[in-house]
Amino acid sequence: MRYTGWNKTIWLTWTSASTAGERVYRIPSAWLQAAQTAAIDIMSAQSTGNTALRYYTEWDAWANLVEETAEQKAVRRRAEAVREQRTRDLQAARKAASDRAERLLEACLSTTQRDQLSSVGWFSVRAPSGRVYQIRRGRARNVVEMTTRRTYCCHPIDGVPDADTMLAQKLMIETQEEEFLRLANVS
Amino acid sequence: MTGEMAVMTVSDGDFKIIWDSDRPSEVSHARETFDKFKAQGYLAYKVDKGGERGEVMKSFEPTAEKVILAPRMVGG
Repeated sequence: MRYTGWNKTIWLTWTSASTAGERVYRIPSAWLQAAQTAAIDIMSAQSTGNTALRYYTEWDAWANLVEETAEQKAVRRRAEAVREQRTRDLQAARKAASDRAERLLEACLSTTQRDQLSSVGWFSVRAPSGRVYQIRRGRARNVVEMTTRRTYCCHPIDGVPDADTMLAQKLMIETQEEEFLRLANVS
Repeated sequence: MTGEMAVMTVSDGDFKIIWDSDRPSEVSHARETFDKFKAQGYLAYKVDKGGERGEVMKSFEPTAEKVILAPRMVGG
């Protein structure tokens, strides 16, 4: 069954009717379930002004879904396929970026730090002051000073992969500890 | 002597530039990249190949073995 051209007419009839019973009566039986749900919304919104327009948009989307032709379905499926491919590409790019960051981090760690990271998920860094920090996997609140057990939150302004973040934290603690402590939020 | 520079970015993770210190065009390209990211607020570190400890770089050094450019740090 096709409803092309009907939905606006029915909508206008429906929303201009004076009683709830009349509204439901004018809806074709095939639309009854959705119409009843929508009718409750419209009744509560008094079907006026922008609110009615908002519900009309919802109604139109539902009606168009029912009316979808083979051609429309093909267009929709092509668009969905493009979106899904973009999602897969993005996930693959993120995975590649993450893998590169892991390799870079490992190349900049000592043997001991690499062993720590692979076995317990963190590595320790000694600052020029003598303080030792534990850098855990992650981006935020992942740096702990070993003596006081204070947690520091300081990371690159850009959302780089976690391994890049950990390397940036390591390098800053090793070379500019005071600046790191000045920037970091402490808890 | 070859040098390597890794630049951390959001879209690509890090990308690398390798130069031969005896080839002026490669050194020039590496220096331009270094200066471009430094101008954006990136922090530059020189690290040894073993990765034991970094050193802050104020300007490009053609003889550096390994350079890391990291985005500006902020408190979280």
